[in-house]
Amino acid sequence: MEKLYIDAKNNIPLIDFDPSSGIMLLKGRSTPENSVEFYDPINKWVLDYIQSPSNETIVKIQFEYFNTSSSKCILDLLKKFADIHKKGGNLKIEWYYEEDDEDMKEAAEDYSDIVKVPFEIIEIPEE
Amino acid sequence: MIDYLALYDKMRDNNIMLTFKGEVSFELINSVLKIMEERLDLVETSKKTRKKVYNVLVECLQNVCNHLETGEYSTENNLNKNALLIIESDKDNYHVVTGNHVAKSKVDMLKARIDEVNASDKEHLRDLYKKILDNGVFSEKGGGGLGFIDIARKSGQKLIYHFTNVDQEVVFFTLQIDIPRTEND
Amino acid sequence: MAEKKQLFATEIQVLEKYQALSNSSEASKEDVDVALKDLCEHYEDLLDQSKLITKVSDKLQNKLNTLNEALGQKNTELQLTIDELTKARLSRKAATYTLLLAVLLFFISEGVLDPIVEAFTNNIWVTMGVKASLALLLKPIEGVIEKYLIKMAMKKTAEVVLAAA
Repeated sequence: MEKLYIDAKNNIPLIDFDPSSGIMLLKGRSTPENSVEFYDPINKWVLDYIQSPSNETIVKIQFEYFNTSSSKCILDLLKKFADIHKKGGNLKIEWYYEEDDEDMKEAAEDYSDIVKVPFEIIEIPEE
Repeated sequence: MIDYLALYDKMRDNNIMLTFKGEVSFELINSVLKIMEERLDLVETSKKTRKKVYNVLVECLQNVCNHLETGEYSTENNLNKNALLIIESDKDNYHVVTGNHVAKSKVDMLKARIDEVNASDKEHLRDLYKKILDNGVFSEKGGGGLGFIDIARKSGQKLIYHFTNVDQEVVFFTLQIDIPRTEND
Repeated sequence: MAEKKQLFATEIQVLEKYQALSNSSEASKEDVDVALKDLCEHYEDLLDQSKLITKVSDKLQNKLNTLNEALGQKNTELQLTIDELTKARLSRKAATYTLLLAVLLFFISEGVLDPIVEAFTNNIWVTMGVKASLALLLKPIEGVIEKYLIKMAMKKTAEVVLAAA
């Protein structure tokens, strides 16, 4: 399987999914006008990946902010990753938030309530 | 020897948010605004009230700054560019007070200008503003009273003033604006 | 609305499937039991989603409000800075005008004033004195020009404020 790499822009996040190492990085801002369009190929990639995932999959999330439609797409994406855990595989989600960003911390907690997999919420210094 | 504890208590009891005495420069105005931004954020929950206090503060500071720079109401050989600024709050209102020395001879003109502003409604204030701009009044020393109109428009309140005698030629003039704290936002 | 339709594509599919089932007269009890269970699961999912995106939306709104307020304040500070810069620029302008005036006065003094003064007196101190007084006048003249320029600028600003009101 090929890596999935999408460069970050003003309104889309960096996507760096490595099937061999199992590290899945989402970082930046997610406010595309058409969220479905942006996340669709990513979803397809993940569906493919979970057929034969790496030994350990770590989804690393670090968003500055995301709009409402992105929030649904991100939830759908995380649910797909969660299938790995459901099938007995090794999955962990690490959600990073900058100190002072209470909103992001709470959002991470909300996601972890819905997506019931090993979920770590980590504070990092302001960038 | 000042009783510092008494001063502290008095400032606390009167809820004095900020006081300053000195030259009102551009840098000073910026500093005061930055401090008040933070303080208001902490104590005032109504965004509308915060905005109003901030804007009235800007106008009052600019007003006193202009007066001192142009010497519009000063005595002939006035070297005193110092002003007093106090911002306090009670449960109903915020009070923004500025004070500075003016010439006794200019008191009547000052009174007349402020009284006229207080007696005017919104429409009338506009006309007054225009009149001052069009007239030669503006080409004299100073702003011709525009500052008071700006304060009245931004605050929607009456301008309260006091004159206290200092000596034969000099009077201490204070201008007070009350800004009500709205309950809902 | 096309985008929103795709955003909830899965949910719409589920709904259509079970609406069809509910409308059909040939549904067996097992079919209905399975459908009900499935529908409950999807309903729960949708509810979780709705809660999440409502929260997200509220937070974004709050952020917007806070930024708006900060923007208003920054604008005020910006305007104050612009006023200061304008004053500085006009001050330089006044200095330039005064310099030009000085040059002009120099020529006038050489070409016109000197001969006139020399016609009255040979005293070098008088000629120097006249020139010195002209030179001393320059500073106050600069002050007057600067005040006038700033006044004009303030008037312009005030007129803009009036028009905007």
